[in-house]
Amino acid sequence: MVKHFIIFFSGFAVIFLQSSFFNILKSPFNSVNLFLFFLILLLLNGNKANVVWGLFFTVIAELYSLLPSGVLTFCTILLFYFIRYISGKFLGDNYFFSLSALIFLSVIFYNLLLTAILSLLRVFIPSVMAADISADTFIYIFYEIISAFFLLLLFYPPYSLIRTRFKF
Amino acid sequence: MKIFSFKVKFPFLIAAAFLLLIFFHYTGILSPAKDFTIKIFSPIQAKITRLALYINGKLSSNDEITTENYKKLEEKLVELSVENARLQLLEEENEQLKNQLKVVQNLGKSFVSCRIIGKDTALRTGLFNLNCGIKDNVTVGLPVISSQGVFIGRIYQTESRISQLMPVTDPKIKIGAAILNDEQTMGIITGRGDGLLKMEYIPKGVKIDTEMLAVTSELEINTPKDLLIGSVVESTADPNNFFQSAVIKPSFEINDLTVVTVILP
Repeated sequence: MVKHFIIFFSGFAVIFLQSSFFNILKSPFNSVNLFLFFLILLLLNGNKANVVWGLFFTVIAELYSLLPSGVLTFCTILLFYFIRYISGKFLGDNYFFSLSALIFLSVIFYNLLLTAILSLLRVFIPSVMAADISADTFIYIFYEIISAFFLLLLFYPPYSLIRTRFKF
Repeated sequence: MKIFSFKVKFPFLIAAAFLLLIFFHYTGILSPAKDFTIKIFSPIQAKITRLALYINGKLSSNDEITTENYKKLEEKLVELSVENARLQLLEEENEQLKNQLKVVQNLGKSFVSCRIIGKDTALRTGLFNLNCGIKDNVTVGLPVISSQGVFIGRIYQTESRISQLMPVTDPKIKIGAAILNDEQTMGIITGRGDGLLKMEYIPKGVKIDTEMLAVTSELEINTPKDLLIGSVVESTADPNNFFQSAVIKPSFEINDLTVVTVILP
């Protein structure tokens, strides 16, 4: 019960910090994607409750997004399956470098997936707001990976203690 | 997972929940919950945003000038620019003064103040979230000004309790504007993405000097004319083009904004 309370409050805190703090900061500090990092850690800690929490927070995050409803949730579902596959096949252990590699791949996967979905949506709904794909997009993803690495350095010690492997 | 004695696979549950969520969103069933969340948390978000904007201001401040003096000078500059725009209009024609007074009076009558509560959680855009929406009579396309009366941008999208402000510095915006020279030359202002603006479609042969002021023109729907946008920094004329363009520095500093005013129609 306490664990769920912690997840609940930290989830909200992460969403508000992301939307109201990190996104406002100037480049490259606005590359810190705390929400995605939190989501990856949540989905990595493989049990059904955490997946449901991940989806719940994605729905809350969608309140503060211009995207058509459901796009972020869809990305989170696919991210979950991606993490589950990678974690099950190659990087299932609890070592720091395994987690780093997993987060590295997940950040790339999530960003490319979101960019692809938005580009596709734009064909059908021209009013969809999407960042144009340019060199900046990849620079941004690079910064996001770097920041995720630093976040992992910060959060690895407590996280490695509580992490459990996928049970399903 | 067992539901009503049927064994349901987890992926199907997720897919069902996802489809239900989309359905609930588009039918508006989730609106009260969304409104409640935004209303409850917007004061906290406004404070966090203020902190982020303060840090931004610190990051971009010049070390040689103290931050306090710099801020005061910036404020003074904006005030003087607004005053200068007003004086130029006074000299132009008495009718324009009347119109401007009407605009000022109108601003006092129908407007709504909104707090900036952050940015989009998923997109890397320059759009800001405001804590007012359709329930506050805020609709798409309405102009947004600062407390000093400087034109900041337009409402890009709105929901019941939240809306998105597209600042004039965004490359996707297009604003009908006029330069306060003898002819009040019109053009289209768009953001450059680096904090400055570009005014295009200015006819060739028109003299554009630096420090000339750019204001909103009557071509803008729902927007009062003569709202200050910025001042000319540079003008360029391409010999292969029918038009010339100018670089405009906006008269507002986005990091100083926490509360903005949406002018209602």
